Formats: sequence, C-alpha cells, structure tokens
Amino acid sequence: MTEEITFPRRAFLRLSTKISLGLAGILGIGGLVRYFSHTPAGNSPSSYDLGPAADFPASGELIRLDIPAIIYKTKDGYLAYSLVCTHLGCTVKKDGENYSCPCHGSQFDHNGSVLKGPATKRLPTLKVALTDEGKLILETGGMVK
Amino acid sequence: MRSRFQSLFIAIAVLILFGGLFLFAKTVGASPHPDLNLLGTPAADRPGPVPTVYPPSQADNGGQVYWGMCQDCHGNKGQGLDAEWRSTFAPESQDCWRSGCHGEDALDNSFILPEAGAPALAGPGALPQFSTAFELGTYIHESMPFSPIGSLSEDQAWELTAHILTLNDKGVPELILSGTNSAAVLVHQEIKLPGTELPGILILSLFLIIAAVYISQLSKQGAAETRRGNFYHHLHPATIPKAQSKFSFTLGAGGLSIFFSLVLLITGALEMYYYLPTPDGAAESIQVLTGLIPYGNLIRNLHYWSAQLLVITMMVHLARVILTGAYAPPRRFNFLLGLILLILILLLDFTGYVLRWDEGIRWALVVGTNLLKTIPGVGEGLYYFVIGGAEPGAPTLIRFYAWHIFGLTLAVAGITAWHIFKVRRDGGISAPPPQRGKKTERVPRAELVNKEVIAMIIAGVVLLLLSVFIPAPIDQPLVENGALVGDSQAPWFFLWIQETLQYGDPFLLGVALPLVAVILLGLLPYILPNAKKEELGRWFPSGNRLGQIIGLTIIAIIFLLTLLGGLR
Repeated sequence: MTEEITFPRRAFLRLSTKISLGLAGILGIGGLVRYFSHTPAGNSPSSYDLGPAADFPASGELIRLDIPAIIYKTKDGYLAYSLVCTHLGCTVKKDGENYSCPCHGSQFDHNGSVLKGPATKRLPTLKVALTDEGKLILETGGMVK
Repeated sequence: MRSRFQSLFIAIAVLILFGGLFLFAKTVGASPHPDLNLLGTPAADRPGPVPTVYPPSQADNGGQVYWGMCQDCHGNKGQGLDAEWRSTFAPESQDCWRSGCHGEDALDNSFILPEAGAPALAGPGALPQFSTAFELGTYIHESMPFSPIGSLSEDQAWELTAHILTLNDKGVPELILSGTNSAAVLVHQEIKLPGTELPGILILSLFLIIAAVYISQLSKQGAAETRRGNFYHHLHPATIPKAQSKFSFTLGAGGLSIFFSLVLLITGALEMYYYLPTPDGAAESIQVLTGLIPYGNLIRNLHYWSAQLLVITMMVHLARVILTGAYAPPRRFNFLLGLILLILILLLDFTGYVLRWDEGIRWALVVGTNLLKTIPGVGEGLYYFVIGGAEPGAPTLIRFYAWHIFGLTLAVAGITAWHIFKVRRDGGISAPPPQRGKKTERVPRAELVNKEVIAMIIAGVVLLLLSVFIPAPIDQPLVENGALVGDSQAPWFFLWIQETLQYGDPFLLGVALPLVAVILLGLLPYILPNAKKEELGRWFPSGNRLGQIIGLTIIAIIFLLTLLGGLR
C-alpha cells in the first residue's frame, strides 16, 4: 500500500514559474554585476619628472602637490615621502617638523612614521633617481593616489 | 483640540515673522553672498599705462602689463588690430601680415601673425567665448601673449583680466581677482545684486501666511465635510481616527518629509536645466546659476535647504515611530521601508553634495570613497563601481550625477510610494484600538487636508526664509593638485562618521559601526518586545521600553557626535 503522492498541476506550475523566474533573476543580476565591474586601467603616472637636480630648491625641500609628495635633499642623496595619508587618503600638511592630516587628525613625524592615529601605516617612502642628464625622477612604484 | 492647534500655529507664524524681521535686520548691509556682491561703479576713465593713483589697483597693474605686452596687437583701447590702430604704426609696419616682423621673411624673434589678426577685447561682441572671468584669466595665462605663449605669470594674468573687464565697463574694483573668486565674475552680464529678489520672496511668504490663516479659519467653519473633495482630498481616506490626526502625536514629520521631497524634486528638475555634469563645467555652472540666473540662487538654496531639513524631519519621524512603539506589527515591514528611505536620502545628500565639484567636496569624496576600499573582499570592486576608475575624475562625476538624478531618485520615489501605500494598507498610522461600546472619534479628510496644507505652508515659509538668508555653500572650482585648499570637514550629515573615524580602524568605525546601528534599528520590531495594541497611539508605551532606549541611544549618539564634529 503506498500513499498517493499529491502534486497537483497548479502547484507544479507555480513552482516551475518561481524556479524559472528565480534563475532568470540570478542571471540578470550576474549580468548587471559584470556590466558594472569593468575596471579601466589607472591613469596615474608611475614616475614624475622633478626637473634638473641643479634647480632643486636651495632650502633642500620640494613639495609637489600633484603627486603629492615631499622631496628632501640630504647629504646622502634625495629622500621622498608620499603625502597621501595612509588612513583614508587626504593629503597631509607640513606641520613644523611633522606632518598632520586635516581630515581625521593623524600625525606623522619627519621620518614619516606614525606619531598619532588613526593612521596605522607610515607615509610611504618613494624612490628618487638621478638620470644621466642630471634630471631627478620620482618613482611612485604604482602608488595609487 | 482645534483651538489649541490654532493658537500653536499663530504663535509659530508670529515667531517666523519676527524671526524673519530679526534676521533681515541682522543681515541688511552684509551681503549673504560676499563673493558675489561685486557691483560697483566702474572706473570712468580707462587707466593709462602708468597708474595715476597710489596704491594702484589690480586693474591699474594690468593696464601696465597690457601697455607693455598686449597693446601692439589688441589696440590701446582694446579695439583689436583694426585699420585705425594700424595707421598709428610706422608706415613699413602697417601691413602686419606681410611686412616687417610678421612676414614670411620674419626675423629670429618674430612670429607669423594669423590672418584673423588680434581680436577686439572691448566693446560690443568682444570676448564671445568667455562667460566668466575665471575662463578669461585662465585663457590669458595659458595662451597669451601670442608669442611666446605662456610667458605671463598667474598674477599678471589676473591683473590683465581685471584690466580687460574694466575696459568693458565690467570692472569690479572691490575684488582682487584670483582663481578663487573669478568664476563668480561674469564677463558679459551684469552681476545680479544679491537681495534684489528679496522683496518678492518676502511678499510671497506673507501671502502664504495669510492663506494659512484663512485655511485655519475655514477649518473652524466645519462645513467642509459636506464639500465634494478635489483630487488632493481623494488621496486621503474619507475619515481618519482623530487620534491619528494630532500634531502632538505625529509631529507632522512624515508629512513634512514628503513635502520636502516634492520641493527637492521640483527644484532639482529646474537645476538640471543649467547644471553641467562635467569636471570643467560643474562648479562654474553652479556659480552661474547662483550669480546670474534670475531666481537661480533661490532655487539652489531651496534645493539645499529642503535636503538638509529632510534629513532632520526623517530623523524626527524615526524617533517618533520608535518612541510611540508604532513599529509594532502589522507595521514592522513599513518600518524597514522607512529605514531604507533614510539611507537612500543620506546617499542622495552625499551625491548631491559631490555634484558641486568644487574645493569644498574634495576630501569628502576622497574619504567617502576610500572608506569603501576598506571593506574586506568587495571593497576594491565597490570602489571602482562608485568611482568609475582608479581615481576620481570625469567618470566619477557622471556616475554621481546618474545616481543622484536617476538611480537613487527613482528608488526613493518608488519606495516612498510603497511606504505611503503600506500606511494605508496597515490601517493608517498607529492609533489606539477601537473600544467596545465607545464610538471612535473621527475627523473628515477635509480637516486632515487643511492641517497638511497649513503645515506645508509653514514649512514653505521657513524654507523660503532660510533660502533667502543663508546661502548654500559654494567654493572655487575643484583644481588639479590643489591638495591643500579643500575643506577638511565632512558634510554635516556625515560629521558623526568623521568623528568616529578618528579613533581607530576605518572599516570598523566608518563602515561596520554605522551598518550595525542601522541593522539594530531595523531589528527592533523583530527581536524585542513590541508595544501592546491598547498602548498604541500615545507616547512612550511600556511594551517596547527596551526598543525606545536602544533607538534613542543610537539617535542621541549620532546627534552628539555630529555636534562634536561641528564644534571642531
């Protein structure tokens, strides 16, 4: 004796409708996600021309807000820090010897190390190269603004 | 009840009137738009090459530069290289295109002069391609003098701009032109005096107030019930329980939110006819809208103030719903719809804020979008989705524009309609259940409509006065590399997030914490005890005490953090 399984026509149609609409919906959302997930290549240059080394400011310090970075001339060569706050990306300001961020109050010392949070990472150091023609080139190493 | 409401209304109306007068008295003389109050008496005489008064004005200095570098081609009065001006040259130089320094056998330091010559800089039809002094000054700096191009300093370019404006009788001696203020100075049109529209707006406000008084008197007559309703009446139920119509219960916050949304829709649509969603055009088009278009300033300010007030009325509405336990079943789902609307409106506020594309929004955009990046897993993708590239630029602006005027607006319109429909479907707003043997007192829709109209008029007058006296923020156009000029304060409705961000991990404090707060609010009707049926329709029912405490705490914390951020 087996119990008769009841699966009326109406219920079957309802279920089928739901399944097909659900699958169509998932496909549609998948398409939408792909539509929006196109990621164009970044257009930030990876190196910046700082001009001839001979023209470096006599103060031994150059701020370039387009990078944004600060470049120091030391007796051992050139030293550069990114001025992008490692917290949420505002540009830090020179504040005496230190750097401070206007947005959330992070502070970095003159070496770029964190003095006060919320930032947890130091200001990245950037490479400065001297070309054969005596030009200074700053390399950001793919740092995104 | 009716008389109490009326006395309250009259008190508010009087307060607004006197408050308006007070504000007016305070701001008379001081222009609400310091940057735009530029109309002065233009200098009667064109300054000569050497300034005759000390200290020389910016235009005087420009006159000197002009005399030295521009006059030969553009003429001593800015008339351009016309025949009359050429006739003053030495005979062998009069044919500028063939002879002397500009011919094909040009000297080393000379250049070929274009066939078109040098255009007139003054007089009717001059400078057709420039609308603001910012454009003119930038052009002079980048493309003039003709040879060698770009040999002018930025200061000289602004001095020349001031001088050329003076040649055109559009000089603004009160102002030292710079990259900051020049976008508000128009080359061709007179700058509209701020406040010229004030009398009209004040008279409009007065008419509105008088209309409100008449409507409240009409309410007293009580005959309105028998009148056939118009279309607006028909959007309402025929009658509603009297308890549901009390201002002291609803605070009118939900209704006012709809009113402000409608104002936003209309003013926003009007703004779209002038706003240019391009990085170069956006900020300037807003300056033109503010400084030049008749009533443009008013429309922009109305849009701005409705948006700010909408956030406030929505928060008040949320607090009211929590503190009266109104979200109890069957209104749980509608509570969620309301929360979603609040989030969408905050996003609309933020996208609208970014559309200014001026220096005021720089850091809000950077921080707001970098916050997305901190979300584990999907952050990077979300960032690209919002920004449309690796860094903010033209695709960002057009995306924010699309979201602001279309995507988010459409969602808000749809969900608002759903929200209102659910109110009706759930039997109106929460009210005490009918009691056995006692007839529930009901008010006809005519009375409800009257109340709504009066509330709208009061809100409208407040909006008008705010818009007249406190202009929406405006800043210099966003400049490349102007990294140190931007305002580092978040927009006020996100100040609380900016505050929390100072204390640690950006994801936990800037994304997770607000999200948890919203989810907690959304769960209130589902996990905590609700108000009992017989308690509905009044403040502070005992049934959902815990929900009230949690909701009020969240709102209070947000309020305090906002205050703290604002004082910083």
